Amino acid sequence: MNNSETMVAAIYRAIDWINEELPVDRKIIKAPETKLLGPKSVLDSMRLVTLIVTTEREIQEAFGVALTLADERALSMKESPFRSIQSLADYIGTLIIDARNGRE
Amino acid sequence: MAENKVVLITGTRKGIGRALAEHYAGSGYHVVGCSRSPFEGRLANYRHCCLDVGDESAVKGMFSEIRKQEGRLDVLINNAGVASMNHSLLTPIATVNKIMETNFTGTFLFCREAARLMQLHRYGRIVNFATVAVPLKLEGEAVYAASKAAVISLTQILAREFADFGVTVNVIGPTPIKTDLIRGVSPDKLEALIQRQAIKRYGEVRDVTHVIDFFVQPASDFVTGQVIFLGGV
Repeated sequence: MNNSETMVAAIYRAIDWINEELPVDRKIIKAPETKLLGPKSVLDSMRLVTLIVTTEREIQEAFGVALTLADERALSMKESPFRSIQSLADYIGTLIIDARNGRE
Repeated sequence: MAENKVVLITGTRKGIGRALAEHYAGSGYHVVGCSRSPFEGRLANYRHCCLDVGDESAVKGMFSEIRKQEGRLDVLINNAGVASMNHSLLTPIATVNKIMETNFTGTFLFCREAARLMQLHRYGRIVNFATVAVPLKLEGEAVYAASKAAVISLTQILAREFADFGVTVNVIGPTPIKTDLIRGVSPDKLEALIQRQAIKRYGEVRDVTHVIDFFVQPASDFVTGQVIFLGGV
């Protein structure tokens, strides 16, 4: 599994946890292209918050790095990292590299 | 009944916080407490962390430890608080910042981190501390009362934000209780304050414990965003 796949897997585990509570027709599809924001997203704002928090937890468990995904940096980016599962995975990869290099 | 349940209490070194730690440890909870200084003496079912409640990094580290060691958090009691009685014209900004950092920022930080942990089991009870100085609008307590008014607003909004996670958030507003917090207040002022209560006596720790017991019991799952002031204020 490469790094990107590892991040995606962490997000999928967070989705599994959220899907436990959702009815069959509302379950979040585990695919890199799944939209997390915008009109095509199946997540309401509360589920998105839960996904972010749960993903942070999964990342900490998998990599031992405590990340804050929804900080000023994420919110000020031209293209939101929360567009899709893949874009979020890429963003997490960047944050982990920065954290390991001792940057914010 | 509280077997394996975990309660976190801030400000447990002395006063109400210590009494609460003893009460819940004696009731079968696993109690995690914190304060800036070490806990004196021994208490079964109790573990202590030394930290400043306004220090984000230290607070996050403590919650990470709770998650690793306990795997859950059922109850948070945000008891830690500081007061400074002074006319606002004589209050330095350093005092304002310190009071806000401990009373408001600390409460916010603990609520946020606790809810993250509580949502794992989709269950939690949070109790925050206000004061009768808010509704009584006491002169000389502008900053302290404002910090606690902020805690009330915070609680009422968190109650809505955390409801989906099965987490309730409520406030207790004690009257004066004979602890270090009111040590610097003159007896005359305290007596005048007590005369404004419906029930004219000092509060006791048991009054606080009783209300918190009500808020944290599992059956109180339909009680959130509420403020109970003691003494009929």
